[in-house]
Amino acid sequence: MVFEIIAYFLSAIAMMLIFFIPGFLSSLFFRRLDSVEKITVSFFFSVSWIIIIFIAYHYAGFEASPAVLIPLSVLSLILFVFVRKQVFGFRMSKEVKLLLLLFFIIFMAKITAQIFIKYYPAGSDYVGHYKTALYFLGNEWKLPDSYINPDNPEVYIPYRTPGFYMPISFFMSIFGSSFWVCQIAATLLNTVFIFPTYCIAKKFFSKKIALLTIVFLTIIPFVETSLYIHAKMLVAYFAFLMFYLFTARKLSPFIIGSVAGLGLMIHQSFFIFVLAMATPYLFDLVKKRSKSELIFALKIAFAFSLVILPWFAINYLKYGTPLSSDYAYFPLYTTNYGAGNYSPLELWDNFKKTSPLYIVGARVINTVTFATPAILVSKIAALFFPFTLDTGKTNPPVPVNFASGRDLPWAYHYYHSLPGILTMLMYVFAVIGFIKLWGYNKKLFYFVLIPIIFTIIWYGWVVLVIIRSGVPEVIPIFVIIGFWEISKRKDREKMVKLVFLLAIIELVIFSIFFSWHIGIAEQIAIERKGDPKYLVDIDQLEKLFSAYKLFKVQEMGKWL
Amino acid sequence: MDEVTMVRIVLSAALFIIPMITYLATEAVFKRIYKIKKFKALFG
Repeated sequence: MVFEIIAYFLSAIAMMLIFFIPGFLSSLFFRRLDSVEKITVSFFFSVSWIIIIFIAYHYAGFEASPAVLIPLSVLSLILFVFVRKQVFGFRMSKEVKLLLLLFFIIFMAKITAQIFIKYYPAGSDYVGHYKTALYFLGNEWKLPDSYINPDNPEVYIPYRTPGFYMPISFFMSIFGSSFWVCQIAATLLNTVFIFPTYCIAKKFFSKKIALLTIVFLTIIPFVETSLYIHAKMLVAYFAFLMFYLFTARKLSPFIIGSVAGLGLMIHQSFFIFVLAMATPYLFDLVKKRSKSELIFALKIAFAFSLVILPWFAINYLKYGTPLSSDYAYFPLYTTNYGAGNYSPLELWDNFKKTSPLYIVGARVINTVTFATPAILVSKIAALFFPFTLDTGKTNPPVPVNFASGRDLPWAYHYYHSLPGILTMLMYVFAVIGFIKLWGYNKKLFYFVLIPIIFTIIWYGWVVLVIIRSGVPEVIPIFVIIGFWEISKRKDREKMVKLVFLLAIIELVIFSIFFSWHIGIAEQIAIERKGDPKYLVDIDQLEKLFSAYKLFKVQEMGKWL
Repeated sequence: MDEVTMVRIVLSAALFIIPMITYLATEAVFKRIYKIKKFKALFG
């Protein structure tokens, strides 16, 4: 057992190094960046390298394993330690050391948490992500004739962009194709967002706020987006990096465009952030009529198109549509996702039959439950006044269950709302700060607001969608804004302590509820076999195994 | 042009129009409420 635990942690550290070093060495050549920025940009280069190497291995058919990268990485790191100052002028300042240490602690905390936290059974996304990563391990990257593969509907290729799966399957090609390898890799990819978050906070606010944000992000209940195999926080990395590079203007517009393009290749929902960044900029551009700015924007657009073009061209040639995802039809769905289960005509007919009250009402209720502590308030109020606001049991207008929890316990809903995820005191400061942000930094304000409004309109009929799979990326920005608001107060030192203390208390309560609702969710998943909204077959969970199961089934021994 | 093509075009346009309307509407609203003295005292 001890041997397995050591191997588990060592492979996590090895993955971290393999992921970090190639990109970091590339970023050293950009001398205009300071040390923190170099580290931040490095993960973009790493993802690029991995995808390039992976495609090269696939099409050139080399026999060598990508595992050669491990000794190469270690060797280059040793070389780098000796020549960093002389050749690259890289200064290992206190700030860099602290940031790297924090990153290491956050990553290790998540890796450790994976052993103790049971994997969440409802929703089947992680099965799809795992199977899609396996698809890239195969020798034949053959696209199915229809974009929904009848043999294997859980493989997300081609209707999701491939950027998230390639790095995961790259790690799986080195460490083995088990589910827990996929889980560590996804956690690693979902942790790097702290670097551009730090850069944004430092650039627009202060170094102290940036550090507090990173520390706070490690302790707030953010479990699902960080432990679940989910592309969203890697999207956050690319979105924040794009935003930061665009405002800092230290790198060529072609690199900024490539960052945006690769971000879109990670997950198609990334385009909301491109639009959120571009919209205020374009209005500004029209007002100022600056020619140099226009050329700058066109260069970005050129690089952006160049990166995304191959994928969309392949889709167009094969299926006659550039994006085979049904993302564009989300507003038309009224009852269920069922990715691509309906034809556009069917969807449109269903949509027409649905009452407008239902369509608007669902979005209003979901917005209220997302943006306010309504669930908690109504739950507490129900203790004193005998009422339940269970709209799920009444007929339309609203499909969403407000307080009592038809599908999942109310606590689960609450911890997917803004006050739940930020913790209450931080939420109060973040909301006040957000209103003030309009007068302070409009670009950042719209970078947060536009994705939220878009998600509400686009598929706000889905319960919990706004944070759970809509825009969890905005949470780090809200934390920054919260600390910014606290920093303006006279009693800021006391308030920071209080915010952290309350966050820890809420975290303890959260972990109790988390283990409790997982049991309920498992029950629901078992009862609901066959409902596409939940795991199709609960037994699949037994066949796969997360880190939680790893030490029970001893599969690690077999792998070694 | 059939109905579905129309819907497709409207939805594709909506991808770009929603951020624009969000921007314009928010600008209009915030410019107005920032003029209110009480609001400015609280949030300005």
